[in-house]
Amino acid sequence: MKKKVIKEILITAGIASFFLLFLSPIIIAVSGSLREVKDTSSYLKLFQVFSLESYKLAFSKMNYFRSLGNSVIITSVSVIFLLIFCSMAGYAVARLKGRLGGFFQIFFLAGMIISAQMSIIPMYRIVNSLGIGNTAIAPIALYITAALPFTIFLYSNFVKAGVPYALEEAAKIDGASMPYTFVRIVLPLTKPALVSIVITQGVPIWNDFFFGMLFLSSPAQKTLPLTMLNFIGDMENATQWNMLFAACFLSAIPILIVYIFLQRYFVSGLTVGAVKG
Amino acid sequence: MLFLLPALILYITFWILPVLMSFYYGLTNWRGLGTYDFIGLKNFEYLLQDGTLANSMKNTVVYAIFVVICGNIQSLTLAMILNMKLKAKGFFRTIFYLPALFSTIVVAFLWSYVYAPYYGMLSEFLSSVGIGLIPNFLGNPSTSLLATAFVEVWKTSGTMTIIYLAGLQNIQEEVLESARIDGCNAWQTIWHVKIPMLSNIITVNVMLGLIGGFKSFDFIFTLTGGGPGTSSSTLMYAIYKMAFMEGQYGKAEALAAFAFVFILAVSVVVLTVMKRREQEA
Repeated sequence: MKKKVIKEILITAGIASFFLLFLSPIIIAVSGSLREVKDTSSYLKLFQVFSLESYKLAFSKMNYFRSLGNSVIITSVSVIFLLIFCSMAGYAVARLKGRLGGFFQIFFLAGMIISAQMSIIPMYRIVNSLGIGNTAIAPIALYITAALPFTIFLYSNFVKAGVPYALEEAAKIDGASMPYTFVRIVLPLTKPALVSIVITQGVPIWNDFFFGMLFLSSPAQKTLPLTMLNFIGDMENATQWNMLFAACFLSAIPILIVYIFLQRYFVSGLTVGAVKG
Repeated sequence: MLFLLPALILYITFWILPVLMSFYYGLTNWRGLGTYDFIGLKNFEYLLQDGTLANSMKNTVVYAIFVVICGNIQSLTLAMILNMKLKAKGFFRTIFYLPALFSTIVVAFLWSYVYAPYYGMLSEFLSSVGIGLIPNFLGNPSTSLLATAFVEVWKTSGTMTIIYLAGLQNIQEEVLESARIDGCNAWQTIWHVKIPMLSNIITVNVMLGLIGGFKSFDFIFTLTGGGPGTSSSTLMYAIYKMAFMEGQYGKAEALAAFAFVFILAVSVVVLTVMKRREQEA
């Protein structure tokens, strides 16, 4: 018995040191962010000082609350409309009769190989000709669109496997309309798929800088990743790093908090599509 | 049918139409302003002679293969570790996913510190163990591409690990038990039982890594800017640079059309081959 305990301790220690190495960039950055702004001693001397000076500077340089608000609004609006549109389309794809359903499934799935950089100029022109350039609508519309291929695929597969068609037929016989059936019967049964979509798409939307960089130019519209983009020139400057580290964590803290509280949804959400698909 | 409408309108306006338009622009000498002429395949000829096509293709393929191989090895190993029955398992399962939560721009900051010459983590570490050379991983044409790909692996392995972990947990205890009774040691169980049973999960992760690798843009953009020279310029970055920094829209879209066909072809081939092997296994 004792031998087993020692073995477990040894294995745990081995794994812990592996993770220490794996996460060392994050650990050093935490320690660096807690130093005074002008401190340029070696970063490998961990946690020698505790100062919030770098955080204060980064906080004001990032215009933190405004950027945070912009990030929250853009991400939540995108995710809400994505949920509505992809569940409606995914349901239709799953229930369309004959070849049409199969056609639309492939048609949407094919979009996964498209990347925004490929058709950036036409995209830019379409956005401007619709009069939504330089408004938050442009990145929101593109976040939703870019997420549609994967989410429609995931949702329609989930409906096919997890929602018994007999249930919908019974509702129909009882005189329920299709929208009513969808909202009252299908949506509640597909909750795991919806959670999965929020997690797998919400995190990348929150973290994205590309569409924001293209379509949001005024400082008042900037999201957290976009304020980080402003600092990119400071990377060459060795004296700026404590402030940069603080900025990194300021922009990551909201999502780290969400992760700590909703961790089990992250695990289940990320595996809904993959293990079955 | 009406249910499809909102998604269909967005998808066609912002995703399909731009791609078709870029095929069209690829055949012109459009430079953003004024009129433009049809010049047929001249853009492709230019890209071939100029070496842009070959160089960015080569970089993209190297990058994608590196991401697929290292990403899968790393995340499968991580998943096996996290699947062990240990008391501290819960803690490890919380922290392994941290890199995947950070924005690519934040990850780029962290790693440009790690790679920085003199004061960077690797530099300081190497000099503290007595190796005097000062490496500049991002500033050296022979290492910049793989150094960037390594960051991509570090950031994306969390998601792949969760998928592998779910696959490992789906393997029934009886199967592992009977392997043990038949005299398999731990390694043999991994090689002959666990990995074959994960084959469809491996397909998912290889496709994820491959498509992610082909579409790689963020880390090239933030860490190296395609440089030094064009040593780390991938297809997506080359397209972006030609279009946005050099105003060569026609040429950029010709390269985009090429990239589209290339990614489509590779995805179809890889998916077919892996599906067939899966059925054999």
